[in-house]
Amino acid sequence: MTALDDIKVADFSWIAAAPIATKTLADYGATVVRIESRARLDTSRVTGPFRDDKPGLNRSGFFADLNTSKYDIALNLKHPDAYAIAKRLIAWADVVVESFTPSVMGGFGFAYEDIVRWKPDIVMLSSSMQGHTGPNREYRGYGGQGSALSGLHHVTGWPDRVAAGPKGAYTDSIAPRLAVAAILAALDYRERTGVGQYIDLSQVECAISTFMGAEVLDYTVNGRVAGRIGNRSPEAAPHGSFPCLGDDYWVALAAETDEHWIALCRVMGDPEWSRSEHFATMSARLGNVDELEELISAWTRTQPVHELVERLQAERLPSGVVYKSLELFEDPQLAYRNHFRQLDHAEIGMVGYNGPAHELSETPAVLRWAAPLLGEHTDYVMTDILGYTPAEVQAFAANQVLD
Amino acid sequence: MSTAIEPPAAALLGPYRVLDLSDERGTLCGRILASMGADVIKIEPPGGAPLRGRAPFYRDEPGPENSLAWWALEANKRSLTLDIGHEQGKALLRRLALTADFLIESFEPGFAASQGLGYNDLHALNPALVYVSITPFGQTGPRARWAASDVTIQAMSGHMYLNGEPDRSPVRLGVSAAYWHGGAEGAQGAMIAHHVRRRTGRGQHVDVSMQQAHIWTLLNTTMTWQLARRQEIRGGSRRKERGHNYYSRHIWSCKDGAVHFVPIAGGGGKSRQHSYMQLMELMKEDGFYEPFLDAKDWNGKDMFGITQVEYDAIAERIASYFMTKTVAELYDFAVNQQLLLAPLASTKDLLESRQLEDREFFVDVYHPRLGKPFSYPGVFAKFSATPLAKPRPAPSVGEHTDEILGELGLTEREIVDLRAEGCV
Repeated sequence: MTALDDIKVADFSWIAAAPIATKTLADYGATVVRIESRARLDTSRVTGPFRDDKPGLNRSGFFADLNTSKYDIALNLKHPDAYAIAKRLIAWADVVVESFTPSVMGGFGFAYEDIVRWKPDIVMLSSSMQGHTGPNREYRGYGGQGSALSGLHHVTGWPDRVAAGPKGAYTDSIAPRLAVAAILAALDYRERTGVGQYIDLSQVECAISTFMGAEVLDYTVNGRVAGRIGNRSPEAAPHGSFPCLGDDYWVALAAETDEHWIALCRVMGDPEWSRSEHFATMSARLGNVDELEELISAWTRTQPVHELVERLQAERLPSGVVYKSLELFEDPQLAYRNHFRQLDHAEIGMVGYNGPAHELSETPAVLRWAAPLLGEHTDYVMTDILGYTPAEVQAFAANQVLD
Repeated sequence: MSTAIEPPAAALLGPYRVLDLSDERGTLCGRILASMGADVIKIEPPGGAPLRGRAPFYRDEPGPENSLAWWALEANKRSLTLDIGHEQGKALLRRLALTADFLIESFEPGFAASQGLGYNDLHALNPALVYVSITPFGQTGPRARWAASDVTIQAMSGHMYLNGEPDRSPVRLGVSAAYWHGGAEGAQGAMIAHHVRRRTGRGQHVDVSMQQAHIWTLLNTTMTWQLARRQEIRGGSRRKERGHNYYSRHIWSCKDGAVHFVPIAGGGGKSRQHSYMQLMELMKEDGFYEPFLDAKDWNGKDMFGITQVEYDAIAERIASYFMTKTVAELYDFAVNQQLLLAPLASTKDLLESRQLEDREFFVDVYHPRLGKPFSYPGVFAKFSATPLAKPRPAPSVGEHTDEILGELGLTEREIVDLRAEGCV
């Protein structure tokens, strides 16, 4: 038995946030059927990085990483004959997931209100940028916009410059965890009561609700608008990243207690300056943080970062290398945890896929196969799951319903 | 709706109890389960949890009931103070564990076991318990016990290297993102384990690594390295992303603020083609259009051949155009014409957002102790049959100790004795 092998998902979602959620369900054993189409390609298939920089619908590492263990059917939903096939798939499923702008599923005849008429206990999750109601419901966006709209950009970077980040489609990594929890909670509720439901999940609301709570309250309670403070902490110094020997190497460290400060001084060799009154207490260190950071940087610049972190860790100081992407593949802890799971793919070849960020002791996730080629499982889904005859499948293909 | 098997409970996770022993690093997990209606009991050391000392504070006055981080993260929970270093405290916790469905902890790996409260101990006692551990690197492995803080975990996830300006140090996200991702990952893992328990009656250990959770924020960085051997680097408002060998701009200044916008070089696709076309129309209207701006299909067939010179020429034109526009003008246009553009919202902007207002996202939460309501961020999703629980003020230190011990069947006398011993 695998954890979720009793769950069936009709997955109309695309790009990143919702596919990450259905990937988690699939890696834990759920039968997830993704509906794709050549008539409307998933943006992540046409987005790099591609194997050896050669673009191709089945060569994107971005798509691959987010779609392991899924079945894939190429079905052109804009074709009038596609309705019956998709309806059969939804009738088979416990869960429908989609991430279009709100009017799209209704256009196909598959808004929640439509489905619930013939499948009253369906659990349906719509993942969107700003939610399925309100004046901005048709707003289109990716996770970088989600991060900006939820306030994460505004608090990230340097106070004297425009916001610096975060990198990439950040809210695409916040929403999926909540989506999985929400779907499983709704299935539990359905099992207890027989009642299904619709979940309207906005990436922006997910991010504000879980990541911005104290910042929002600081405004609504104290009237203070949270700004950018670089790497500093209002409560600890030193706290940040400091330059090391070599090309763009940095050490991150946080001296959150007096013990941490003493440990840092020990590793620095207890230099004269560290005994100054300027740094004798946490409030003194916070008050003289410019001077403190300069002195620490002068020292870290002479240090090779990996050895330095070993020495800091030996003294129990919270610290780490500011990893470049290739260094993730050399990290012994990630290797021990088997974070990058090697899977073979017909066009991409052998490559490390991001695995789950948690381990389950009894029913671990298994990345069962690499991401599917576009339409890789069309025949299997049509015949084995939906019960069409091979002749029917051929006719659908000839009419471009299956593309 | 179909026939109910049992009467619908008021809440999604109404029947379930969670013991939350975690500190700041894991506490979002219980907060998420509580918003879905679980009975979450925060177990604090006598005197209160360390998170109560975390700024910012109500009116900037430090105090155990004044931390706004506590307000945000512990809402909807009950509080029980318990000294788990004390023998009777341990006995009480074991008794509570018999009544619980989930336990969440974020101690250093090995600590809970050293107290006789590890996964193996409590699983033996209550085989149905889902035991969630949320730590920087996971429970085992060569670096499982490394000292860490949010900033060092963000660094070791590979994300921090990509944030910031090329002429300055890498910069972290301005919130404790590694902790929050760890907590959310815990909630996801807990619900997967819960599903298994519904089928088998058996709980298990959910072992979260915040480092791994935050690696998931990279999205395509690790594939870019593996497939194209290119390392993404930070560039502030400009970056090399998606394996591009040129810098592209993400943040643009305008008349009265800044917006996030990826006109081209965002991976193409129909929505980005549409977005760029709409921008061209707007620039034409305002006399800012130049033919070189759409000389090629930058988001379609020509997207892989963009050079730095081409990109910079386009970016320069757009940048000078945006300086003639306000954030509100650009965002209105984005909403109406499906431009892939967003304001860099501050918390003040969030409270003034007409979209969030229309969705009644922010909710007033009345604080009896202070005699007034405060506006809180609302729930993370809208459920049609079982709306999530609106925030209930976070508990004061040990607010529910008597209530919870009473539910356990302890007599008033026993509670008085425990209190005298400093155990609760």
